[in-house]
Amino acid sequence: MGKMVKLIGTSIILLTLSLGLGSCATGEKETQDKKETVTIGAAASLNDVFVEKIIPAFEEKYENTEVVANFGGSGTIKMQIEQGSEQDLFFSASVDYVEELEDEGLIDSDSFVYLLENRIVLASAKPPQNETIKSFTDLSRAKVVAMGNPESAPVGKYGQQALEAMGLWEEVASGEISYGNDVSQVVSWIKEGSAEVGLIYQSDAVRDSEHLQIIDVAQGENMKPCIYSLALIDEGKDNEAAHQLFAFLQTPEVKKMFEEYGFQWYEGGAR
Amino acid sequence: MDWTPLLISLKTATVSIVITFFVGLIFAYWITRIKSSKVKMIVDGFFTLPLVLPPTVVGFFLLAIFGVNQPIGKFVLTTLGHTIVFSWWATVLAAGVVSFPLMYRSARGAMEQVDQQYVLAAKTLGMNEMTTFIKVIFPLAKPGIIAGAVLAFARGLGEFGATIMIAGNIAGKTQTLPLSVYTQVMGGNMEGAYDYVLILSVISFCAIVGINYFSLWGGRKS
Repeated sequence: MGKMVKLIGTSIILLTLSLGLGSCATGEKETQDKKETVTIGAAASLNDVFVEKIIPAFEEKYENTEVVANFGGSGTIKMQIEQGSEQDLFFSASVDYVEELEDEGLIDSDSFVYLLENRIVLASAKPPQNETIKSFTDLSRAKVVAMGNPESAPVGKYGQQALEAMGLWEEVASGEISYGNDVSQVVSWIKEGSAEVGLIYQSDAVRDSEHLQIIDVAQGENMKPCIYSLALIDEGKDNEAAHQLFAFLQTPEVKKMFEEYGFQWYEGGAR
Repeated sequence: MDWTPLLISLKTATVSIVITFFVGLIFAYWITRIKSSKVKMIVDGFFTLPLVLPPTVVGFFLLAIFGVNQPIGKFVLTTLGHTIVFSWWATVLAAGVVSFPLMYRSARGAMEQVDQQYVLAAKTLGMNEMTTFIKVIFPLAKPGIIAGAVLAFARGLGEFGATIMIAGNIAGKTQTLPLSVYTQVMGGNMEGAYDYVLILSVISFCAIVGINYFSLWGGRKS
């Protein structure tokens, strides 16, 4: 009996302590004025520029606002939005996913903008595992090619489209492809040398030029551009902080940050 | 339904359990022979680590050992001309390392339960260590050892985190059932995952019920 009491007592103390710790971690928030929160679901390729530059700059400018960012494959984030996860903004590496959400009535159509452009590159670790691969046409010499999963990561869809445009897709698809759920996974496989080469964004390769080497850049007339688009999700329509972040992301200040991280500003005008 | 991920998974889990079974058994037996309890504690800590570590950390260690730029990975690449990472064997490696503690711990527990009287009697009657193990310790510890093997098999079948890190996600080669479920769901195709989820759930459930049945039946018999 005494043991039981001790056990229950210990459990209560542990519970109190852990809950106490929890509030310590969020304590900062409570001591200041209550912060407005904006949640953004963003393509994995935007991770670095958001974490290192945009979010700190935004939170400095709007002191009472806190940005919660959820990074992943744009297809995965789209799925999360469809499943009802509460996010205010969607920054997709692909226009298609935002259009699909628009068709489903899940985004605020007036807010749908094209914002950035990126390119698909063939990259390897530095120094490369396989020196014989010098361009996309040498891809059949690779044991394994790392790519994004076309269903969940736009980098995979763009990669497949680029290879199709060059007439190389069937050849590559008949070999071994390791599909990453988002571009970060593909980048890590390439950096580790696990996959000799892979298709990633130019921005990722430029960002980590210490470990990654660009072998070839996908370009040409029949190549579709990789366009990143931004939209307010229905959930975020009434959230003032979401509107603030939405506007902030289109300022010249942020444009510079994107360009510094290897993205190009979309100059094609309105969508 | 595409059966390839199921076949890959079964092949991986089977090869992995065959290796883990013997390695786990040997290590478990070895640790019961260690006299110093301090040494025992620390060695046991190492053996059990993969059970409590996040699979991503296990994957990290495996990459740090077998990655193409690491000494062992490089050595294998230059001698055999094959990389370990991104090969089918990498799925076995991940499944084996992660399921090893289950096999090892169950076997150790079962062996420690064996009445030392029998072991001493066998020795008195002139059996050497090997024969004592095969004829006395193993039969007496069998229920626990088999339960451990079944658990380890089920765990190996479900391995995901370390696998995707060292084996990649190559359809028809390293894409196991859990990886297939992940790929389908992350791509927004919940329906595509239904069959695989069902198969994994049924196998895992049967494994646990099987262990329960076996321990009940084994207990009644003795």
